[in-house]
Amino acid sequence: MAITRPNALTHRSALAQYCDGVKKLKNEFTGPRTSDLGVPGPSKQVSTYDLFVVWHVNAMMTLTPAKNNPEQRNAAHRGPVFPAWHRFMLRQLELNLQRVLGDTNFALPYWDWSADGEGSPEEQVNSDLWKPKGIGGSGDPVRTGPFVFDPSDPSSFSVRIDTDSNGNLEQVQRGLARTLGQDIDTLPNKTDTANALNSVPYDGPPWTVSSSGFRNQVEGWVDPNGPALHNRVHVWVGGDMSPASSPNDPVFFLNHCNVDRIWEAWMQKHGRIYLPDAKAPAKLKGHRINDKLASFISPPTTPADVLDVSAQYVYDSLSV
Amino acid sequence: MAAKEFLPSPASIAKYVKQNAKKNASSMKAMMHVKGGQETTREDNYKGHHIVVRTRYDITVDGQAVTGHIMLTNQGQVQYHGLPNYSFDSAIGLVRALIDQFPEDFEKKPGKSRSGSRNSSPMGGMKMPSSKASQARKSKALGSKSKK
Repeated sequence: MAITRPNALTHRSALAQYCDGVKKLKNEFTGPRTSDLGVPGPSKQVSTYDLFVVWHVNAMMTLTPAKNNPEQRNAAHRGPVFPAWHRFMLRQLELNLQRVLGDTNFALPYWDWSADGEGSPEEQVNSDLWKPKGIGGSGDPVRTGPFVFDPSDPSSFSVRIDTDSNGNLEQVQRGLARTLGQDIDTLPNKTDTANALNSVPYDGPPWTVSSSGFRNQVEGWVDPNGPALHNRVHVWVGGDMSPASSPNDPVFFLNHCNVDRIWEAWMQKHGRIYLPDAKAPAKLKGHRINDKLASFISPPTTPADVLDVSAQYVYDSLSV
Repeated sequence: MAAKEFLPSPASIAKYVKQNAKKNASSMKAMMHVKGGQETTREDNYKGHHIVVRTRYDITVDGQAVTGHIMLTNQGQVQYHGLPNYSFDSAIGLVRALIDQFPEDFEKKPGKSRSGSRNSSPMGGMKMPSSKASQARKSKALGSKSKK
């Protein structure tokens, strides 16, 4: 039976359960070590949560195709596969949260950021999400909420692997950082999501950040005045949401769960259409409907396999 | 995903990471460490003509090479894998943002205090309606770059 993904701000118990599960995955070590993953420095165990950070960086740094790819489409971003790859990643996190929580009914909550985006800049940074009973607020390090780092408590939440200015993985041991509303002062709003919902086709040539269509609109490359939708949320949160290691901030998954909800709403409206199809040329390998999505902690899947997830989960609302 | 969903376990995670780690590490290695400059190529077709624009970047900050992957769109925007959600009007704007976001990577003097204090300079050139100051994120405690 399908589980129902709830709004994080109207289902606070789901948000609290999410935070609890994240901390459990942060303290679960299944064997992989930094030395296995090419992370310089002393060989240390890598937690299940941190494997999602490494997976995201790896996908970001895997060009598709590896050569003759001037706009640098990669295995998870900047091309048609963006919504599908993140749907795959989110579901893997959800299944692992269910496992460590011992609750097969647990469903990832989403952050309806365009609802917050209807408020003033001051209201946006003061949303309930950022309160101590939410996921904590701004800071370097964050000093409120469930993800505060306490150097004297090894089980407290800490950032252990991130990327440097050149995008290289590196080991750190520090608190989470957020700079809410500092690099850009407003979130996307309902007009932005409505425009994305009306955007067709799903994607199209050149299948990059220069394409028109829903995928590029929701990824956030289309607006000439700055980052939009998904990209804008990353920039607005700032801190650890800025580099390729952005899953370090648990809000990453709340953001992408909302992106996934918008994609689901788009498919409800326009049909379960994905492009490019299987006959597209090899230069689109990794982005065609039957190509394998870059996997890390599980068997791979394909965009075709994730188009209809109604047997696994639904959303409590598709009003985006 | 519908009919063949795989349920994870600690053992399965270890198994699949072991299978995938080497492949992923080689992808990363192929992409990183671009030293001695990097060239981007943009192409377009216009009125039956094929346009190729090659641009070479050789960026240093205080003599230290910036080696992350730079991307140029056909609209002229500069983008960068190290800050994957941003777009810049120029490479200078990008490098200023890197200095803002990763100040510890550009500190001139090893041993200089790195208390995690924040940098208040604006991120020049970034296309944003109301760009404000970026802040330093990190206070590293491990690895060769630790300067505390």
